[in-house]
Order: sequence, then structure tokens, then C-alpha cells
Amino acid sequence: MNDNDVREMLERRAGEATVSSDAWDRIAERIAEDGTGPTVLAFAPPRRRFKAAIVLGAIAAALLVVVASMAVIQASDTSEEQVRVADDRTSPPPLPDREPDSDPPTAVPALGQRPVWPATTDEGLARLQAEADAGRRPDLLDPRAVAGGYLSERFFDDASRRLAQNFAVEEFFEGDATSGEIPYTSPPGASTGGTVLVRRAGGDGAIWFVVSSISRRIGIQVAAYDGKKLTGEASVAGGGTLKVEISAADGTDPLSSESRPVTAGKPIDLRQQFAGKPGLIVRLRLAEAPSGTVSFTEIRVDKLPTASPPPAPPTPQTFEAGAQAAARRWVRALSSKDADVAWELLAEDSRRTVGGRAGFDARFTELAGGWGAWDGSPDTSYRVVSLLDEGAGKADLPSDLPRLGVVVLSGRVAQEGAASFQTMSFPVRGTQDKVQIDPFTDINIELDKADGAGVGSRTVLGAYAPAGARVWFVLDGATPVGPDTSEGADGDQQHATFTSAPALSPGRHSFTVVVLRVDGGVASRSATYTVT
Amino acid sequence: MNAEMSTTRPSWDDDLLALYRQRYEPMVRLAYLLTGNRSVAEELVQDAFVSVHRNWQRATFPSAYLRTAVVNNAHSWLRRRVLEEHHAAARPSLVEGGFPADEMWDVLEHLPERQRTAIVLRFYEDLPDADIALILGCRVPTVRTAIHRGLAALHKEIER
Repeated sequence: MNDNDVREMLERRAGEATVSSDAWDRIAERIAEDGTGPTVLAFAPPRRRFKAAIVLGAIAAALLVVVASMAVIQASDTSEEQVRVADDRTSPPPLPDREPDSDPPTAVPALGQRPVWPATTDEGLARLQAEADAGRRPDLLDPRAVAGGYLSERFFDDASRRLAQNFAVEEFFEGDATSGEIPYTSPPGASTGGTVLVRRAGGDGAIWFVVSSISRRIGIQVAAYDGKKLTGEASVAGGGTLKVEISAADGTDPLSSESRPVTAGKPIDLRQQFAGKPGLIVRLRLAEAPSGTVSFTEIRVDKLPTASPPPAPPTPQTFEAGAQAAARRWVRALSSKDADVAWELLAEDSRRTVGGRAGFDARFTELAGGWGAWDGSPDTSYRVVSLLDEGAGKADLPSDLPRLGVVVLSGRVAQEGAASFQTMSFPVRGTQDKVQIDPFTDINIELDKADGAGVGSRTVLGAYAPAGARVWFVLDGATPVGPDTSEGADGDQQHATFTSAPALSPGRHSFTVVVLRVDGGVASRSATYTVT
Repeated sequence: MNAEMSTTRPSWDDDLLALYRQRYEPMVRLAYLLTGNRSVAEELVQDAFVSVHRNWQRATFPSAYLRTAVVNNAHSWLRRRVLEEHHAAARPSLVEGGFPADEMWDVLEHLPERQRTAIVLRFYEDLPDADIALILGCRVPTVRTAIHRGLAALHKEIER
């Protein structure tokens, strides 16, 4: 077998690909549906064509959650309300008209961080935490129980005083120690249902709370709440009656509640005036006709910061805090296309590796599209792991080596129209007065298991790394550990392995390999593995 | 980078259509090689065109942007597929039925994502290592290693 054999095989196989005669029409439709409108906070119904191309499984809900930094993708129902390119089938559709923002927000606050249930305020959560600490609310320490309690309340029918629609809670997918999601079906086993997103403020012993609930049947696109008005748009996958209820985040009584008939795929305007609230909780409850199936989506929209320049970030007190702040600023800078800020955050090694400022600028669009997608993700965690304590374990490394760490990002990220749970990491370097990130390197790390792979609870995980380099493994943001085995250190590359002890628990795990070369070069690579 | 890249675009509509006429079918073929699924390949390429349109003002080289979007979309789809298979009892073949068995193709199917993509971009798209590195978001040595390992795996399985 030689290179030509590979080429011939690929050419032959490529010829099997088929092209639809109406491809341009479909692209034009999608562009028209896509628009360039408000920021998407949540999105439920997938496009039918794409939905047909994938298997809907337990993770389907995750595909339906689209986070803040991506552009709007309107829900589509190919049977109705489709935007069509009428006569000239060879011309692209016009750019969608946009209503100019009268007071465009400068930033979107972190979404999915604040509670919607069982309390909506810090005080309320503190009271519940005290009850849990006293042993009176053990249910709040179990994320599935929290999701179940939440769903029971939301599906409860005040009029009949019964559960309006039964549901079945599925497995808890742990994002990290403080966040995760619980898919559910309702009615049990049906394709309808959604995902409950939960968080907690600390580790074991901290209560879980719901931050949002995303139905597969209801999408919300919300631009902002600026302290005066809510702007946004929703769409549904099935026609029926939609109840729109909006409450203040610091209160329980609805500020607004109305029911309206809705049609699948037709945009539903959510604009309303609500002055002086710290944030809003938006609940949409859809009763589809004629099936009567009930679905609901609930999100929290906190007030945007004012348009005045943001205050200078406080000086971090620790390397870890500084690293986390630097990582967030990096992601935010890429999301907001601020190349100058991003460049300032780059460590010298990365600047050199990327080809200087010119090379950085040349790649900036692609970088922004990838890394920037993490900005605004409703449940992204930034976990900082220190690699070398000051003065410890550095004897064989350059004397001027700064503090080193790795920032591990985990969460649902929306890219190219779908959201999926991802893990990403990059090294950080700290000196006396600043922390810089160091994501670009010529160090090659290759994981044994592909990102997204399923693994057993006792699977040996491993990676190839340059020989002679130090290797650490970081599981779920925990303390880094050295390899169990390392082979091939006398060649160009070593193969290092790691086995979790105790065995990996069922669910999702983030796995990061960190490599520190003797010249001080550092790199990391991450993947998400699922244990069933 | 590539001869097909253009730096001047008088208006998005004419050029988007031109890009479609020039690159749609090649990109569908590329997506098919990466995913092994004909219908999904078209979906992913159409999504990529929407992305190109959305980012038209920022995409310095729309053709390169399009290819990167196709590769990224394919990677996303493959990751989702892995997860979906994990939830499904049976693992479906990457390749749709109806075609004769091809041992090399079967091996390619089971290569790690990066190796498979690097091989397709090298031997089908004929891209240099630097361009592949740009698309994959990694360094050139990583690309070379991926291709080397991928070819070694193909060779090993074929010779077995």
C-alpha cells in the first residue's frame, strides 16, 4: 500500500457522495432562517432535515441547547412559515432586515449561573442550604431529586391539583463538580421532554439548584434585559397555546402572564417593559393541539451591565484566581473580537509559536469562532489546576520558569448550529504581576481515546507525548497526577497511561493531559469521555 | 494559502453564489469522506455555507473558511455520533449500505478523528501540512504525526 493507493481509494469513495439538485435553495432557506438577529439563549426544536439525519437519543436535549454567543437560528418547520426564495432560484436571499438596537448591550452576563428553583435569590438558597446542613432537605443534595422536584412543580396543574403530565428523569450527566444536566422525557419514554440544567455553589454538601430548563419543543431567543425592557423571541415546534409568564428574579409573583395561540415555526415576540428589576425569569408553557402534550422552557435573564466602561479587574490574590480571570478575559476577548486584548493576554511562547502579531491576526477569525463560542455558555466551568508549587519540583527546569497551571473549561458549547458538551484546556503562566495564557505550542500530544469516546469505568487512559517531558493527568479538574506507566522514554515519544482510582463513575468525565518539556514549553490536551 | 482564495469581494451575494458553484460539490465530497454519510455530508456543507454567510464580513478567505467550517461540522457530527452510539445498543457502521466492501475505507473509518481528517485533507484535498494544521488548529508536527500514524495503521491493517 502506498500513498497513491490511499488517493485512489479516497477519490473512488468521494465519487459516492451525492449532491441534491435543490441544494442552493436549501442553503438560501437556511440563510433566510438564520438571520443575524438577537443572541440566542436557548433553542429547542432542531431543523427537521438535520434531525432526520441523526439519531435522537438521551443526549438529544444537549443538541438543542444553544448558548449565548452564537447567532440566531430560527426554529423551522418545513411545512409552514418557511421563508422562500421565490422566483430567482439562482440568487441568494437578501440579508434579513434587522431592527436597529436602540441601546445595544455591550455584553451579555453569564447565563445559566443563577437559580430559578428551588429559590431565586442568594438568601433563599442560603436558607435551603442551612436546612440541608441540618439534615432536613437531603433531596437537595441529589441533582436528580432536584430535577424531579422541579419538574413535579412545573408539571403540577393548579386547577386539577394533580400532575398534569407525567415525566421520567434520566441519568445525571455531570459537567463538573458544580454543574450538570438531567435529561427527561414527558410523557415518560416519549420523544418530547427536555433537559434540566443544575448547578451548586460548592462541592459535596452544597445543595443543587436549577438554573434553566430547556424543552425540545420550545426555543427562546432573547437579546437582553437592560433593566427597562426585555427583548426576545421564541418559537415552538408544534402549534397550540403558549403561556408566557415572566417574573422578577427577586420575587415570586408574575409580572406578566398571558396565553396566546401559536403556530409551529412562527416567531413569537416576547418584548415587554419591566423597569427596575435585577433580572427576569421567563417561563414558556406550551400545550400542543390536538395532542395536549405539555412542554415548558424556563430561563433566567439577568440585567445587563451598564454601557459604561467596565471597571478594571481587581488584582487577583492567588495564582489560581489570576489564571481563571485571565482565561475568562481571553475567551471574552475572542468572543468580542478584541484582538488587542487577546494578544496582551498571550504568553511569549505562544506569541512566537503563532507567528507573532501578524500570524495571530491572520488566524484571529478562526480563533474567535472556536474559542469565542465558550463565552456565554450557560454552564461553562473554569477549573484551574496548579502544576508546580513555587520552588518545588523545578530543579531540572529553567530557573526563571514561572508559576504554571492549566485551565480546564467544561460545558455545553454551541458551534455551527448545535450544542454539545465539550472540554478544553490551555496552560497558563504566572509571574509576580500578571498571568498569561499559553495555548499555542509545538508540543504534540495525542490521546489514545478520541474526544467523545465511551470508556469503561476501569479503562486505562493514555497519551503520546514527547520523550523526556513531564506528564500529568487531570481528571475532572482534580489534582494532577503523574502517569501510572510511561514507555518509550528513550525514543522520540513516550506513551503514558493513567487509570482512575477509584473507578470512574457513570456519566461524563473531562480528561486532560498536560506536558511540560524540559525547556519549559508546556501544552495540554483535553477530551470528554462517557462512562455508562 | 490556496489559489482559490480571493481577497476582493465586491458584494456578498454574487460571491456567495460563486463560492457555491465552485466549492459546494467538492465540499460535499470532502464531508462524505469525513463522515461516511451522504445525507449528513450535504447537511453539514449547507450548514457551513450558512456559517460563511453569517461571517462573510470577517472571513478573509471565504473558501478556506468554508472548508474549515465543513471539517469542524464533520468533527462535531462525529462526536455526537460517538455519544449517540454510546447510548444505543448497536453501533452502526459509519458507511451507508449499498457499496462494496473496501478494506482500506473500513480501516480509515476506525482511525482517530484527527488522523482520518489529516489523511483526507492531505491525500484528497492535497493540502500542505501548514494548511491542514490551520484547519485542525494544531501545529505542523502534529499533522505530520497524525498522518504518519494514520498511514501506519492503514498499512498494518491492510497487511494483516
